[in-house]
Amino acid sequence: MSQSQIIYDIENLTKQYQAGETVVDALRGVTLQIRAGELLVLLGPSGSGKSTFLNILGGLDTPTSGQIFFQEQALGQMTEGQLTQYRRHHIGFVFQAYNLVPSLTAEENVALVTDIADAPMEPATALEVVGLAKRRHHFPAQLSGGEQQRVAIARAIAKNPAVLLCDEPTGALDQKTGVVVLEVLEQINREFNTTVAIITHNAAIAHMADRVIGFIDGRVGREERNAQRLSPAEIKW
Amino acid sequence: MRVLDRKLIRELWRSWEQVLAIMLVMACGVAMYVMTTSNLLSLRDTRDIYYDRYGFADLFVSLKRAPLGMAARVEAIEGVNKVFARIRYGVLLDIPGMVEPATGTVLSVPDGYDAPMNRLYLRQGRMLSPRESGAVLANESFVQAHGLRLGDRVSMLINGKRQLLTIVGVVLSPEYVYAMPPGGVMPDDRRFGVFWMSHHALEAMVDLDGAFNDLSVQLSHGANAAEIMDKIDVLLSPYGSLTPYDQSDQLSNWFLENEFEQLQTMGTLIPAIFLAVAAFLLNVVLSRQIKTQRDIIGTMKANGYSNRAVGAHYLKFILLIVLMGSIIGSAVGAWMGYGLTKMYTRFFHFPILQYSLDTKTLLVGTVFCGLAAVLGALSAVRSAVTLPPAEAMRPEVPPAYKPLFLERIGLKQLLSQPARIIMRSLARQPMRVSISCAGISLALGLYIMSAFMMDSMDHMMNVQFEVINREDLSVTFNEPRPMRAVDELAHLPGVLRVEPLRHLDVRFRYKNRHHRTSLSGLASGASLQRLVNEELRNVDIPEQGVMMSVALAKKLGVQVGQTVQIDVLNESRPTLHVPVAGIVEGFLGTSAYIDLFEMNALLDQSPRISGAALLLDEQLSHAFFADVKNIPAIIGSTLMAAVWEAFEDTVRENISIMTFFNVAFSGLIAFGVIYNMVRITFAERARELGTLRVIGMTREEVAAILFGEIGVVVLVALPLGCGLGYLMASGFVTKMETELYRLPLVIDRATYAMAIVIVLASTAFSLLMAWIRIIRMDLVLALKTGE
Repeated sequence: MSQSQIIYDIENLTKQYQAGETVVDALRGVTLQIRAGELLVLLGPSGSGKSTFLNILGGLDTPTSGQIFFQEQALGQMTEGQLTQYRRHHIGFVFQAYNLVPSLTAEENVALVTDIADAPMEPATALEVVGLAKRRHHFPAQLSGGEQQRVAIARAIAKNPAVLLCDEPTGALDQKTGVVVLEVLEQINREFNTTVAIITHNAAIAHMADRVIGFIDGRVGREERNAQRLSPAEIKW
Repeated sequence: MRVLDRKLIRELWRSWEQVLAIMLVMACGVAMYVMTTSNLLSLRDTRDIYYDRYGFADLFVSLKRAPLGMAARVEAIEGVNKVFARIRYGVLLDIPGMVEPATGTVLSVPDGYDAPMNRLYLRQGRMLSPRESGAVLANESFVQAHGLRLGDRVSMLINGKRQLLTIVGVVLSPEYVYAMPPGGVMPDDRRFGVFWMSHHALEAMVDLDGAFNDLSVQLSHGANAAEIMDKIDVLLSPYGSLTPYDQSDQLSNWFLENEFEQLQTMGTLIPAIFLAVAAFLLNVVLSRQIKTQRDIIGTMKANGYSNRAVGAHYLKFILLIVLMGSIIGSAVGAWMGYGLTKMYTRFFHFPILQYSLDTKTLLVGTVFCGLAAVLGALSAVRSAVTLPPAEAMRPEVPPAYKPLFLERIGLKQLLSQPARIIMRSLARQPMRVSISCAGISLALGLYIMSAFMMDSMDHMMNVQFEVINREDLSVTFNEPRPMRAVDELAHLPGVLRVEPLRHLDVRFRYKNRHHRTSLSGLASGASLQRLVNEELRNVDIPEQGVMMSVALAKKLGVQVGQTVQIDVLNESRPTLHVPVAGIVEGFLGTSAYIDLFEMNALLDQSPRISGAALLLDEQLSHAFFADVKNIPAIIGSTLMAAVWEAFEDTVRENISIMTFFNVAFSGLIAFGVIYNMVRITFAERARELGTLRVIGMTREEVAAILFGEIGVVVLVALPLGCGLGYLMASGFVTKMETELYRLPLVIDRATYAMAIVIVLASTAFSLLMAWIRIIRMDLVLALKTGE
């Protein structure tokens, strides 16, 4: 693992928000390196900056200062159009609220991404990976929460992204369903060597990671490497 | 982008009611525009073809008597292409079953060859054979008004002799699109008939052998009409001619032009306002519709869709709605335009139906609405895509709530919890609330502007016929008579009051403006034909100077105290210079009045009158009319009731057709706007309402919040809309002014009430639909997605 290429090189990243009349320091200087194929878990209480960090990694937001390189390209200097291209070709997103388009079937939600990606999988294949081949013609409203989240994952991986960014992917799910979703994420990391970053405030999930980054107050508070990854099935919370 | 297109179609399908309501608003605007524009275009085309095919003359002149050879001399004038010399003669008609006398005009038709101009269109029966006697052709409107048939005989008093003539054909003439009695202001199909007779037969009856008393002239291309009229005048004035006039002063054409002008105003101004309102509403509705999709826009962007791709997607969404709306609107507009043209063709008695619809008309409405929709959509899409996607996916940031003014001053107890939610949510979205208010107000104003015309028309007629013209009828003599004629009239049975009148055919001139109308001489103290000022108070005729109607003074640009030139067009044709003594109210026509004795003095004549205004005892009217029919000196009698009726049948009818469509469309627009507003408000608040349900509020409590919010908006919009309607109507009446009449700004309470009822009914229906949605609301889903 340590021999693999560095995919993100982040130095002294800060982000300030204007929230009403006050300025919020969401990130106060984050320095980190992420390697290709790593499975990261980002832990931390609400407001610790982990979501802001993930959004900047994914090109949804830009830093106030500091450097962030993706495969030696500076994300901070990218234009809006370049960021769009970056997301289109390299990044898969999984959100807590799934964010599926309710008017499209499972397969079509995946096709939403494969239509514009460079060398995507077939939507059906992506759904097979997450174990939903049989539900592909169902609309989001006809799927359970776990199934919806797996569709969202299928949508995220169908473009064969280098990085999969997951913001509280199990936040809205019960444990049993959550485990199924985590298993899918772990499997993708393993089979496709996709870099996976998972945000959670559920500390138990940290056991499945290669590395655990703890966010406190806009900074990296602790960084631990697991000697051995547990499979999601072994995790209890 | 197959998947996106599928999303698009499915979402259009899923929200079909709302899409339909949006399309409805747009289709109404477009249909209205296409209908009226094509109708107007068609009517003008029809008239032009009619005039052209049947050779409507360019110039007209009537005279006492001239030998036929004079016609050839007129034809020799440079610029004159053809002339048509004929006989025109005024007659009294005796129609069985009709108490009051009717008058008519008989015109000669050439024997053995086609008329060179003013040709007739044969509706029924046959044309006359050369030199045929005892037979006439009759104009269709008169035949229809009396239910006459081919072979029926009409009794006419021609040149003092009673003649029984058989109707052998029913015809239309470009000269009598409207059959107006000489000197009349309104067509009167019942009491005025036009007949055509063989020249040979007519000249013998009226002692005009080898002569003519009416000349029509067709000009060569590019000829100078004014110059030629002067030359004709010089040639024919020794033969007792009146000043020649052109098409613009020809009665039927003048009336038709006025009707067209009125249609033109209604047909361009109102649809333009409709289109503008529809466009504004589209803009508002679509931008709000798109805002409800901000989380989906965020997701699309997070997944790598560019701003342009997202924009294009929503643009397609809009364009599809616009396209469908415009197809429906254009199709409905063209269909109704055809129907409307057909109706008007019948109304105007045109022999042909020419429906014209050009691509420009079709494109203008569509492009206009499309542009407005796209602009509205783009601004909404732009505001959605410029958000960082991470933020767009979250629900809209809750705006900073502020305690209400009432709460801040310590009156918190005054408001219940739901009332506070309603008031705060209204207060925090002033823009959204104002736009909703503006939309409803506009729709309301549009309705009032469309519907008030009938109120105004009724008021106008009441004033005209009950305050100004209070006589039962007026009679016209064949030539001016001495004053004792008043006493003779007073002795007829049933006559309660007689007031002398004298009408002169004149042309007013002031600076470079001029206008041809009639000047009425009234006796001082007249109480039947009254002059009233702006407040409808009686004013007496001054001993000196001329009184003018508002319309005439405006047309000449003259003010009280200034001196106008009056060219008298009959009698010895003197030119007078008279100061304007006052302006009087009057909605019909352009009129001018002068003291009768002053008029006679200016003409250098002993007191003479050309007619009289009479008040009749209704019980004795039979005896009165029976006597009048046998007095050859009385060549015309105008019943005020008949004028009223004629006005009802023509102008009011014309306006009521248009008003019907305007009212229907504006009602639909009002419904569409309110329905959309309620739907969107529901969509925008669904998440919040869902939350309230989750925390234990009942459906009724949740509905009360939504309904309360909408109710406040509607209640605020009602007075605003009524005010706006008043403003729009007042702008409209100034635009609607023609030479024929002008409309007062009068809006009945019932019109306001109806507008409010439409808004309230639309609101009630829309709220019922929202209530059904509240009942069916899936709480979990409502919390997760925008809708």
